[in-house]
Amino acid sequence: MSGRTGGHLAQWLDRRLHLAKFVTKAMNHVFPDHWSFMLGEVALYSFIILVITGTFLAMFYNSSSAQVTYQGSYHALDGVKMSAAYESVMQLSFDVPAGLLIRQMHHWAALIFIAAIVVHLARIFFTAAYRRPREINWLIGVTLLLFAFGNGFFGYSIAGDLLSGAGLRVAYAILLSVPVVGSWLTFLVLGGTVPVSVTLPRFYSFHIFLLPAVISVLLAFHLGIIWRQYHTNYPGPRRTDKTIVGSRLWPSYAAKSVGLFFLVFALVALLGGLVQIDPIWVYGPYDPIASMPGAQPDWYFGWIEGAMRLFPGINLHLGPYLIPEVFFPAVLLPALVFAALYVYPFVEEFICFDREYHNVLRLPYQQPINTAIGCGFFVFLAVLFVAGGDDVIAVATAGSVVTIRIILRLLVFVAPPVAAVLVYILCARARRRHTASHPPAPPEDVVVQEKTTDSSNEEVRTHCDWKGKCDW
Amino acid sequence: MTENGEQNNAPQESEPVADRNERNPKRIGQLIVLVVLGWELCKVVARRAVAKAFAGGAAVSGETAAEYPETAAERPKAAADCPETATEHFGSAENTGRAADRNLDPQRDTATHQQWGMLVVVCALAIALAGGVGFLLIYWTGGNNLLLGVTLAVSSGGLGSALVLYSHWLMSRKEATEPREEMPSGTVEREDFAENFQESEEEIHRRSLLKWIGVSTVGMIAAMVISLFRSLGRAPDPSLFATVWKRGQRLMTLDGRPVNVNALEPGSTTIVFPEDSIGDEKAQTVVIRVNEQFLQLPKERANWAPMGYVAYSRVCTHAGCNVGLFEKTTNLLMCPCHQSTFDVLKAAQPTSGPAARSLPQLPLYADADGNLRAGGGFSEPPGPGFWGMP
Repeated sequence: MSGRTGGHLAQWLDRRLHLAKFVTKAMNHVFPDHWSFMLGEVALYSFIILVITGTFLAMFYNSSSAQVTYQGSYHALDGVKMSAAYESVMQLSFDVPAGLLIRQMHHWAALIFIAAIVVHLARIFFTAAYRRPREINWLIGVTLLLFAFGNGFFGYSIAGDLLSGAGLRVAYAILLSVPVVGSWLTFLVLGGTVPVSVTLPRFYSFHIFLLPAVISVLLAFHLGIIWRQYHTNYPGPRRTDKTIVGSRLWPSYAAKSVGLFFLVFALVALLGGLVQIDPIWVYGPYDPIASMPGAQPDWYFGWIEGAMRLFPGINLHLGPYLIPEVFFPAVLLPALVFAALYVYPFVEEFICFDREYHNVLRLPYQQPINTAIGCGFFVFLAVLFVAGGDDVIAVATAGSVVTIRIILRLLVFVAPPVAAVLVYILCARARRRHTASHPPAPPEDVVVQEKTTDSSNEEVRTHCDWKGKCDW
Repeated sequence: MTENGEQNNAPQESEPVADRNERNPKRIGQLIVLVVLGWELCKVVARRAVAKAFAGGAAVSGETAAEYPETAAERPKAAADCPETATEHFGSAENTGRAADRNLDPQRDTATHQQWGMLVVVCALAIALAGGVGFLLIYWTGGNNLLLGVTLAVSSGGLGSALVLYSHWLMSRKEATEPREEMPSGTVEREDFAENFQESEEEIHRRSLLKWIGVSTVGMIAAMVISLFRSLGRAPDPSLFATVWKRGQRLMTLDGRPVNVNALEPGSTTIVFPEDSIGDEKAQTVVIRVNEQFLQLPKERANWAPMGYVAYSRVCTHAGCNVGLFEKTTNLLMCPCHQSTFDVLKAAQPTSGPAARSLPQLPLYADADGNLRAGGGFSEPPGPGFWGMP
């Protein structure tokens, strides 16, 4: 019965859209089987969960900064004056059935979204999947990370609690520190010196319209391009730069992938139900006078926070003008980090004179230099991340913040090169051993392949040799 | 496949299950067999999971891995592995698979394997159903968020596991090898495109008036859009430069009381505001009474601290947090956000941490009633630094 209904529907659609060929082709699309290709999907599914839960939350949220007196079911705050924004978040947390669950799921999904993007990026980096022809997707991916950062910030800033208020003021200082245009930028984005009543509506608009739209479009391009180019393959039998090996989209890959969505959803639901996150009722409403020891941003800003804490108090006076100390760790450093990410594939291409197409991945040990650079980079970020909690460490170890800061200032310069050298040595050794136990194949094959390829399909391939190397 | 011997236990033992059931109605034997079967199953699953997780690394076939150019010797061999038939049309390139391929696992298509797989998938779906029922029950009877989260997770997790297990365990999966598309388009295609494009392009080029008016229109639209940004915010106003306080204003606490010169003991602090803007974030000032003889203010500020009362902006010059902590023994003000410290005795110069500029100082004097008043604005604009900051 249902099969026939489905068949009818398919026919109905096919008569109007001429689908059969297209869908068959799509269903036969080949996806390689490897768990590490799922990391990007985890990010995609977290984004879908964010949209679903966020839509629910948007129905209750109010971005107004008008002062109201709390009357809700959380009696510890009875009679406290607060912004309508904060009250609406309290309301949806305590008076809307399942509201708190959805809010916590939303926040957890955001953390997982960015974590998945970062791990995905690391996988791409350490297997050199960014090489030609996938540079465009690398650029889009890094941009997605950037926008995910931004939207995360806008998201946790609009709750109107003490922590997000403190975060807003730091963000204000960071924007303001940009040379020449800083104050204009600040007034454009925040609407004035914080806190002003226009800031939250503006952030809300960024958070639920602008950035999600941009992220969706970029995601569409990201997926469209990977569909067009296929995934890469890990090295193995039959896996060459000219072939794609894996399982078909339908049915096995589709089932697995949809299953993964529900598993990610389950993880988010479990965290949302069991693990408290951003308890704004503990922080209390934003109070311009209150200060909050032990305040930390969400995890993905930890490295910027750490850099801000470690960077020494150096002002740059340029005649009558000033570049404040915040600029270097909070604007320049992230700009450099992202610039490095953006240009990396092109720099590698340039340095290695590598104009070839690569569809087979390199394993980390096969590219010791890249792996060493990547590890050094992540260790650098990790030290900064730890520095973002130097006060917490000081409390936990009963040490002094000053001592810990000195140690971390040393570590941030010493640890990355040490890690890089160590990793290089390990990788190089692994590569040597592997080469010793697997002697290289005779190079004659190259010639054979070249000939076959050139003669078999002359019209299309005359200008390209078997490696895909082309002279335009 | 060295583990084959162990793996084969499962189907062998499944036969006696039925026999024993008939001969020996006692459930114990059945139970033992079930446990053994279950154990074998777990081992198989675990082994597969491990094999799967490392399939990429383990499946590296024998060749070198020179750094640059990328695995030069590797490709010819790999290419040789790939038969020319792979370049045939869509979907016909099913192949014989690699060692780690599930499809070639002799276990895979046995009846036991299928039955167990089905059982596990059905169980996962049943758990999903139960979770869903639990969620609805909890939602309609009070809606405890914790339990809602757990049941939602159980339900969704059950469904997700069922799908993944179904795909991994029961679906016949042939590993497919297909050719990739040649990356740069062929010469013919490219020339075709260039021809098509140039045709219309030349048409536009010929009509230069059209071109210029078109470009101007686009520019005009851009200008209109950019102009709209003006609505988003006022220009940065002089308030950035303001030193906020005015001479003669009384220092008021948050609850609106003036601060008398006798109000504080040495070593204690209070937060004050100008009398006409109590609660203003930017104007917030911390007043500290210190022992006068230890004060080391610059010469020109010698009379800014009557009776050891010093007043500094409470907004950190680093990143704009409230400088909320005062350490009495060292006379340091500390910002809890990034741990900058400022020496109260030395005009709030930064002593450690990331801050570069002193906290702006507020000159004070005591009026005839003994109440503290501002002797003028802050020594500098308060708050974090910016490009035009004096």
